[in-house]
Amino acid sequence: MNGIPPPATRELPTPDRPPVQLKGRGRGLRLSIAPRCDPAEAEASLRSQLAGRGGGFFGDAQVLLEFSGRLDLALAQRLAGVLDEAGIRVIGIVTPEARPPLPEPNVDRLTPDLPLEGARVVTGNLRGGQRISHVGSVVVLGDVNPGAEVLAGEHVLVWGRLRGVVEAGLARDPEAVDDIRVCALDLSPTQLRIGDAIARAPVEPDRVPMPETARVVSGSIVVDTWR
Amino acid sequence: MAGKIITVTSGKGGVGKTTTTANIGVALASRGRKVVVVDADIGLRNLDVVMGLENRVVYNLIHVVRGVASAERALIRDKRVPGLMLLAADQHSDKDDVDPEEMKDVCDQLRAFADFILVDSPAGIEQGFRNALAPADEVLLVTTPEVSAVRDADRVIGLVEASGKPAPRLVLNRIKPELVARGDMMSTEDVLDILRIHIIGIVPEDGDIVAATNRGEPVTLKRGSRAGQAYHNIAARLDGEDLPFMNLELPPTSLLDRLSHLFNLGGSGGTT
Repeated sequence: MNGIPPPATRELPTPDRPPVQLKGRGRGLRLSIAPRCDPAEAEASLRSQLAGRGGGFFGDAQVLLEFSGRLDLALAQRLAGVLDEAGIRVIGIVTPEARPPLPEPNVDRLTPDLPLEGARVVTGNLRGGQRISHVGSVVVLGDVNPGAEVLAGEHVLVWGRLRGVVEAGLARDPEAVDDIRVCALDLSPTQLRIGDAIARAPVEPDRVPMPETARVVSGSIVVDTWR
Repeated sequence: MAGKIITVTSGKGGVGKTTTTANIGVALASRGRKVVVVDADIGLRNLDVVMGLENRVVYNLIHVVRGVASAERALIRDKRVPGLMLLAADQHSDKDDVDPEEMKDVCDQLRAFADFILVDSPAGIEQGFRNALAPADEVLLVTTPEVSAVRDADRVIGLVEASGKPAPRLVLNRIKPELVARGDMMSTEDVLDILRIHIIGIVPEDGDIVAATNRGEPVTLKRGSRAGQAYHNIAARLDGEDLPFMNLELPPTSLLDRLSHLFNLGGSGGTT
């Protein structure tokens, strides 16, 4: 995503507001995350707020991550790591429901900012026999094991290993799926369908897992590195 | 006494649930614990046969559910291992004759008689499995290192978690170290990589098991068996001990064996 100008609709964090704010007391906490905040600044801000509240204060507290802008999974993971060190467990991620119209997807970019607002977020592993379906996009923070199925109207993003069956773009006309993406940290699905295109992961015993993203180019599924 | 209820299940059949239940039961009892093993495979009783107690069954689980016999009367005490008791299954009923609430009720009664109540689940994910799962405080999941068994195990983990129970702990059964070393069998790491749950025991393939099972003498009763040792280790871990895992590497071979192995490798290297 380097060097790509951010969409015109982005909201800028107001200078007097910290990029992240830890709210609530006791065991139920909320961490509100400003739109488009810098990950390093967000982490520093969170650390100082945690330090300000004192070390062992949290016990086995739970926190909801509230994104007021786009869901940034890399940031979520980073903040979850910091929270984990403080003994606070992330129990969910909240994204705003109503969003301004999204910019037109740019098919020239391999990994566009996926419009994941309103996405169904699944935390934990999807196991064999389990099925998740959603009219919008589906985000899985965990593995999709062999035998599990993800059916999404729009995109599918797996922050883990994707080894089950995935159908993406089901809400679309089968001819209009060029911007649909299926991304995973390890993309080796049993079967992958986008529109009318079907593919399965090639058998490569010595394959080194890496983040990849799949899309449809003239009727066939093409896989690129997910950057 | 308020015993802990541990259900032993697998999804796939034939991976060694009953053998595992019997042997962990014997191992726990030989540590001085009181143990009831419950055969929840109604209609297909096995546990009493494997434990060699078939000819002593008078009352069974169904009798207790129906109130024909008290739990105390129905329990069969194993004379070889003090503290070990069996509640047998009924061969003339089927799984739908008991519901999860009744199963829970019976197992709760058994808590008064033992430290551990081990429930041997039937294979599958239907009524019989749901009956066996209902009373569980903890679940042990048995699998063999085969793709189909692991797939079913994964499905069962999903069902156990969906029922609100804690994630099962894994017993990896019938591992053959020499096949793993050759890359012909899934390793412990391969299995855990998919299932992502804690492992409580690794049981090597052991010819003694077949012989012992057919004689109705759990292998754990026999000294010097590797599988038996593995079951003792699982029992110790269930009992709260923190034991290292068994070294499953092959016994050291002679220099001549190793040399000929080397030459074999060299010879086949050109053709593969």
